[in-house]
Amino acid sequence: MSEKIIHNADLRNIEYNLSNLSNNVSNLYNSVNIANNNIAQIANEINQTNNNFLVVFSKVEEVDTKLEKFYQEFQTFVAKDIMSKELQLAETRLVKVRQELENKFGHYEKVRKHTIGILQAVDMGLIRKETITTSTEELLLSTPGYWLAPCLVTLSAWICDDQNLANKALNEAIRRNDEKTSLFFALINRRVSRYEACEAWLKRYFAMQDPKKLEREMIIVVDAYANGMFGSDSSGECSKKMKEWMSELSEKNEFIQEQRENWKKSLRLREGKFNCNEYTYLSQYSRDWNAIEKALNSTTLHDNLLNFLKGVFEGEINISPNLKVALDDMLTNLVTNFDKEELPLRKQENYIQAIIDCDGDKDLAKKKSELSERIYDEYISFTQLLTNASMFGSEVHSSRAAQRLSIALSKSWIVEAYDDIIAENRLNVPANIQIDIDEWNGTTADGSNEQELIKDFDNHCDKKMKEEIAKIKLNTASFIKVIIGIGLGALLISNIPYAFIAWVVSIGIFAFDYWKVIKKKKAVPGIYADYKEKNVMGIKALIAEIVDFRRQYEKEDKKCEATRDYIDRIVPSHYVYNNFNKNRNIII
Amino acid sequence: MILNNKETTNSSKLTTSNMNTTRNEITKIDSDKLLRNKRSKKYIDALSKLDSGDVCIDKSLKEELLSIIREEFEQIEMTLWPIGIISKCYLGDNYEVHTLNISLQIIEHFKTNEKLPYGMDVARNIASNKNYAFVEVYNNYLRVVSNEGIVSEIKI
Repeated sequence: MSEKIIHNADLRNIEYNLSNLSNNVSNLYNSVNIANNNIAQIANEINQTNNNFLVVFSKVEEVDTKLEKFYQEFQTFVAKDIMSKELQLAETRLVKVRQELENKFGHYEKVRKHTIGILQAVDMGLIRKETITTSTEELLLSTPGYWLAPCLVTLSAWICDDQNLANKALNEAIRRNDEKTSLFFALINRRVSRYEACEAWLKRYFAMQDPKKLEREMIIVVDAYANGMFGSDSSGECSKKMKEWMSELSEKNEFIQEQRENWKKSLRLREGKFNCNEYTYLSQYSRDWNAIEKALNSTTLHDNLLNFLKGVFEGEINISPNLKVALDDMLTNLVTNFDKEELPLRKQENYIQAIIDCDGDKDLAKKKSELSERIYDEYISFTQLLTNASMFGSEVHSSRAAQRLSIALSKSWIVEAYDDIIAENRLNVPANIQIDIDEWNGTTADGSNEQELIKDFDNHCDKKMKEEIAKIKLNTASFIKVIIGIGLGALLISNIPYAFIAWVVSIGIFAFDYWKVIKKKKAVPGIYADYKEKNVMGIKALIAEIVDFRRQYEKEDKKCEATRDYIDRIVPSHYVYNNFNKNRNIII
Repeated sequence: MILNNKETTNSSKLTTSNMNTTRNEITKIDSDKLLRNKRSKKYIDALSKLDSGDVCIDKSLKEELLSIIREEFEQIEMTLWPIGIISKCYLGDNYEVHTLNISLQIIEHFKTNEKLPYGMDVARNIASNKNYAFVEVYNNYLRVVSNEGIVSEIKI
């Protein structure tokens, strides 16, 4: 029998290699675990960074809001500082302008004072004729070119009964300024009750006038006429002339349109600021807020205008009951306030004074002085003269009686301008008001669609909520973790416990991430419910303010009826006074 | 509802050839002055009939209305007439305003938020204002007319 030699297989290598493999797999498993942990740590750190970012973002928003607030406050401070400097500068400049007026034209003051002085001294019989003659001749020498000086020489020659000198001086006065000289002697003759002479001088004065291009002292005639200072014939002459001019100018539509526009600008100056403090929601949540505020401000015109008119028509007329005193005031006015050489400086003075009145606000001063600048125009139309006297009585040196008559004569233009302004203001009231809350906006005319707006807002919030929930999902890292875990388990399949652990851990991590996602999604409806509740209350508050606005506007707008009615009742003939004549005046 | 009468009968079509050749042409400036005058009661009453009865306005009423309008603007050159007239609509059923386009002789009723033709949208807001009977729309102006016929102008 042959021997079978069976050798035992040498498995030590295989065992050694398997052991190595097992060690390597364990190492790999550990490495994967470490990697897993690192990934989880990175995910946490990303989350942490996310949270930190949100915190930083919120801080940045806070800083931004504070910066914006600081910027606004700084702008306000700068504006106030500029205004304060402008005010100081204006006060200095006003002194300079007045000094310049005094230097250039101060010597006229002596002549002006002498005019009334001579008249009053002659009335009292307290002065020698030689004194009058000497003083007037000295004034003539010291004020070359000034129209009033030869007038005083004429007056003095008249008092001294020197007809030859009177004629010479009168010719010179007429040569220097025919219009002022004629008006001057009309008033002088009225003062001494020479009615025919007064009427003749007045006719001469009127003959030189072009109603489209009057000099400013025409207001003296309107003033004297309104106060009943002229005799009945002269009053009749004034009445006839004014009626003629009104008729002539009314035929020219461009004049009427210009008058209407001037009146609109003048009336708009009477608009003030309405107290809009109660509209806290509308001012924040409506893009139409500016139009709403403007509409309410425009309604302040009605009461302001009515009060202005009442002030003019129901206040006292401060005129002396003594005719001579009243005429002396008129003469003083004529000789003091209407010399055209002074006009440029007077205009400057007016503007600088407006800056002071507006506390240094140059833009506001410019607007205010733009209209009143017309009173310093060298030549104006009769209609413009009436507007100036109506709106700027004290600036044009007209009395209250003249102001009343001017408004009464301008009544039809005032009514048209006022009606136009009312219509413009009503056109600009927003018919529909838009509400803006974050990304949502809705429109309402009068709040009657409140329920529809709330429903629309609800739908908008629901849509946003669904979009936000849809955005919350598992991120890529979670899936990577699961894939690595499953892969690792597959590699360790020969070692079931290790594989099982790998799978359980990866599934656990995945489940945790999934749980976080579910938690976030569940929180969203709660957040939106609070958001809805808060903003629905806001919408209701806005609707309430819109309803209030409509009611308030209607109430304030209706006040125009009282003002319109007051203007309608003004009749020109009621405002020509008969203070000094026993006879009835012929009136317009 | 739109009524669009495009019949070209000589008596109804508003062309310059039909104008009275003996009528003096008034300048634009004078026209502005005339257009500022108070409107007649007849004219105001006629325009208030746009709401009578139904959305469809009958032909004879339309002819009468256009005749009254021609009479009201008789002294004025036709190119300076209003493009159209717009006023508040009281027909109900969400109708807000109605318009009359003079050259095309069309009367239309419009609901809230429906856009108005011929550039008349600018007048919509004030046409609904209860203080005014209607608004005449011109190229550069709106002339709003009160129930008493008083005219106010708004430059556009």
